[in-house]
Amino acid sequence: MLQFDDISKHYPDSGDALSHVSFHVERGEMLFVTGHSGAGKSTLLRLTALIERPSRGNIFLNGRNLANMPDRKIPYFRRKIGLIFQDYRLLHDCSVFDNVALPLLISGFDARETARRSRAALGKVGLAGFEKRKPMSLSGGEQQRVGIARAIVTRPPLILADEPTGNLDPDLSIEIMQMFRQFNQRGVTFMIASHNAQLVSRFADRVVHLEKGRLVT
Amino acid sequence: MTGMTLLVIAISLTFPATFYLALKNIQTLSDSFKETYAISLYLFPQVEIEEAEKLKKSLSSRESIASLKVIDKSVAMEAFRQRSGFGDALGALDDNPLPIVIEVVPKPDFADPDNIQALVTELQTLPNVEFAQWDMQWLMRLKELIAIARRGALLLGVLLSLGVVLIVGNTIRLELQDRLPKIEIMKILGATHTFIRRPFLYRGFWLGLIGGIWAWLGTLGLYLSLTSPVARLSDLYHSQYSLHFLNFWESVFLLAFSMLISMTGAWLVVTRFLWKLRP
Ligand SMILES: Nc1ncnc2c1ncn2[C@@H]1O[C@H](COP(=O)(O)OP(=O)(O)OP(=O)(O)O)[C@@H](O)[C@H]1O
Ligand SMILES: [Mg+2]
Repeated sequence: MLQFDDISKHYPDSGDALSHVSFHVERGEMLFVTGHSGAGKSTLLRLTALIERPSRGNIFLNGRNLANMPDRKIPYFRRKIGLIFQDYRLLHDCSVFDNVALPLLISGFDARETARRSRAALGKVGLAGFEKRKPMSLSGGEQQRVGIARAIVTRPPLILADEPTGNLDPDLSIEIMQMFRQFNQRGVTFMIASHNAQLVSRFADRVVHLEKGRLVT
Repeated sequence: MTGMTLLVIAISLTFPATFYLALKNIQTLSDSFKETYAISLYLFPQVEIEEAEKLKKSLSSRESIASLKVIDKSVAMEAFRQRSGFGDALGALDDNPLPIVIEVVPKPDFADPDNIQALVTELQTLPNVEFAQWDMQWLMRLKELIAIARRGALLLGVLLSLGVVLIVGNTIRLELQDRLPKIEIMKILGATHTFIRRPFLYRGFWLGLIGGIWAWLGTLGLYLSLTSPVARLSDLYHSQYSLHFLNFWESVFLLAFSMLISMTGAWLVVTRFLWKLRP
């Protein structure tokens, strides 16, 4: 489904975050990207979502070279992937419900369908009843789950998750991962950055390990 | 900030609107004088009515002249008596001192200042004519002044409209900076530029509409403050003249124009902002 072909990313102020990374993600796979802090996991996910462009190399999604995607098509491309961020990226002046509903609003769903799906997604991450709360009034783990609900609400075929359980206690982490596994069994492909060794060993179909921006196998 | 912006829009548009309104009224006023483009031929006092009629006949064949009217001494006297308020004093005169006057009205398509001046000079040389007078020269000058003022008003309008574009743009820019994190998240979730731009265009629309209404009210205020002095002045001159306000379509134009330039300002700033943002 996803293919990384000799990817390098160079930052002017910090050097090479990734160098010569090549691997692929199979459809329906739950792939984990591991590595120490600063290894380049987040960078890899950002490149995949076209939030940044690689300095070298190509990324193919279903055989299509993302480097050739013009900027104006990027929004439609992003609607087909679910993104979960290490720092959640929630809108703090909007309610939990509005945060989760935003991707549906952007994709042009009608109000009824939006409300139905948003409630369902919040229910799945265990936040039913939190609709009217503001993200600021939630714990780190609860905010993280709002971010997860927002990523799954459009039912994307590919989810890129950056430390999706970084702020959750072990039980909740396992619960979330089991939920991911359920989606995965229904055909959703996952690429998850994590340094939680326990989770990785328990849930990973395959692991890609990065060290200082290089792939180690 | 919004209040300030609205005020600036309102003031920027009140100026050209009022200027336009003033010109429109002066124009109507000068048009109402059209029938008085007449040239008065004052004949020598000893010239009698028969000779005056003869002169009239000889002039009536001219192409440049639309109509002619002989005003006899007695008629002129009566008019003068009524108007001047010197009735009693005039009654004391034995002889009528007023000359016969022929009023010459040039054809409208002939009525430009140079032509009329030439006609006046020519009529002056006719026998029996003591002098020819055309006292509407100022009207012609006024027309030229109106034309110049109109150009000035247009220029002013263009400049102030640009000001509106800038002030709305600046207001929107501040809001954009405020909402930068939100915009970035929306982009990451797949929002198109059109989607992100929409609320800001609405904002521009409302700023323009409300600012335009304020400008309309401002113009109305200036208009109302001038109507009663003008009415008094008009009364003084036994004239039926009264001021006109912006009509329906002019008002609609003011509002539509205000919305248009305000939305233009918003559109330009948002588009530039999104363009500079990374994809
Ligand atoms: N926008 C940026 N500008 C400059 N350098 C950056 C930028 N983003 C990341 N880097 C650098 O690239 C390297 C990889 O960063 P990245 O965020 O991908 O690491 P990570 O594996 O996600 O780490 P963590 O586990 O702490 O999240 C780091 O050295 C980081 O300093
Ligand atoms: Mg990271």
